Amino acid sequence: MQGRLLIPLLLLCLLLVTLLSLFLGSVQLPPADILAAILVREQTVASQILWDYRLPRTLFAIVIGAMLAMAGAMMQTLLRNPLADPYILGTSGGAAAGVLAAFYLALPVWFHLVAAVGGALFSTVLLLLFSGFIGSRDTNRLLLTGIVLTTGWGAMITFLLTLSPSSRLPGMLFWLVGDLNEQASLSVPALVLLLSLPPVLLAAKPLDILLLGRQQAASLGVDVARMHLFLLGFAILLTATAVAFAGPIGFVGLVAPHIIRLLSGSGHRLLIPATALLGGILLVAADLLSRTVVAPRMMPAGVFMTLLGVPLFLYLIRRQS
Amino acid sequence: MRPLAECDTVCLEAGTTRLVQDLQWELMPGECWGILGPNGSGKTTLLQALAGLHAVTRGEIRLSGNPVGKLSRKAIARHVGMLFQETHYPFPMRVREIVMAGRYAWQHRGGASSDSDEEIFAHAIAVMHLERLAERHVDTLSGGEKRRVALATLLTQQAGIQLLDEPENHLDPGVRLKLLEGFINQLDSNRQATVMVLHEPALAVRLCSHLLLLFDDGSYLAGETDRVATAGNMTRLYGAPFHAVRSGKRLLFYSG
Repeated sequence: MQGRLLIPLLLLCLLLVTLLSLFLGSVQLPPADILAAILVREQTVASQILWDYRLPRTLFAIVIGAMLAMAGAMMQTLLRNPLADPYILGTSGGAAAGVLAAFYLALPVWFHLVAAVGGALFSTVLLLLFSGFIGSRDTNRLLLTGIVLTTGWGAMITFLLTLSPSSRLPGMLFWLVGDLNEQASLSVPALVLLLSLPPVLLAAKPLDILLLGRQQAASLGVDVARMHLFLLGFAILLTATAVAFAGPIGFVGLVAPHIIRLLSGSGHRLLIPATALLGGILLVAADLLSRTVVAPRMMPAGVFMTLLGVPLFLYLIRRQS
Repeated sequence: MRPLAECDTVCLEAGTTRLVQDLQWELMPGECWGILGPNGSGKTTLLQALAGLHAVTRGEIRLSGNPVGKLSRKAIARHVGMLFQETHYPFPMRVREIVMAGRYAWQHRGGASSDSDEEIFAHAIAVMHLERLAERHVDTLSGGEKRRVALATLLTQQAGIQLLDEPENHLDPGVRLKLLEGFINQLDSNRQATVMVLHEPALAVRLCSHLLLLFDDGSYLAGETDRVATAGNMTRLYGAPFHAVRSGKRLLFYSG
């Protein structure tokens, strides 16, 4: 599909799902009340729910979804493997363990981001060291290393949760399964996302060539080591920021790029923005489900994202072997 | 005329294995070199060293007078292009995208394809008979078609030196000679040259003006094909008896 068609289509989907997310929720409100709240600024229950709760939450989901999807696409280009995903390969796990350690030590909230970046960086370096570094085409070794790292971080997380005082546990647990309820601060993730987009788009051409393989890309004139550091840096920053603010939500980074590649190929100039848009759409939809399916109770959005991602991942494994 | 590439007492190693030693060699425009040697004698490593992808242990490689280590990747890519033994495409990409990647070294940062890029692309596609496959996804192509895509990418790169690592791989016996001759013939003999690693002495004799033989012990023999391609040299090179037969103007080798 052409870019002039794909991007407007995705924008339309995003608008639709955003409106749905504003009109539906765990509390049922008549559509007329919502409409009134959008059009007239008046202090009603509906306007309070809309402006203070549903809108920030929806925007937050768009930003987090876009970041995770972009991080996934970049990880796949870095490792030349469509199965690469920060959640499956342990990058999210490392960030999560870092954040929980910060929770446990009762460090200030801004430190969560630092801890997430540290954990993600550490885990990714381990992944590259033990999976035969970037040149390896051995998918099994990559996935196995990632799974073992994820398991290790899981144990670390259980360890931290067991030690933590019961008063802090519910917050930690909800954060852990991907909770968009803490509409913490939208501004930091939004800033990271907006600052990441231009450099990644400017590098679209060398990123395309990187897909041809390390040596081939180098022989065509791409500074491969520099591009790998670039990809690694942005994938870690985006993953860690998303995890620090919304918890480790899995599979957005796997599902979104996969669908876009099927629709319009692998060129990064289109892949990156389209993947970001689709990531936003997917997470808003997952969050909408989490608020409505078991209403008035709520479920973390990560649950629905994982339920969607697991079958796709299994399908991809089957097709690759 | 200035050499396109020079090897000045170059020594190569792969891991801890010593390969070619003290290689003194020059590549002039218009030449076509064939590298022959037994498995593990360093043929591919030498190509990689010329492309700046493998560091020399000793000595220096210069491209048009510039030490290869001092050039940027983009600058090297304007001097040297390489066809690799195997190519692997894990993501859906179109033939057009891959062949156009050859233009990267000549484009400005983030620059779009210009008109002359389109002309160069059309020419490369025509030489490799890929016109009807240009919009196809590469994962739907056969091994031989992928090989032609890789050769077309090399053509759009328009580097001075064309390094071909086992170019006959995946190509049918019926077309390989025509395709490779077509590739070599359309090069500009005033500024371009070819170096190819081959397994078939007969193919090397047919295609190449010069031969570089890499022996097991790190020594080498370089020179014009007529002088170097003898049954005695092939026997020494491969460690098995070789005989030469002449059929008209063709020289053929057989072992045993």
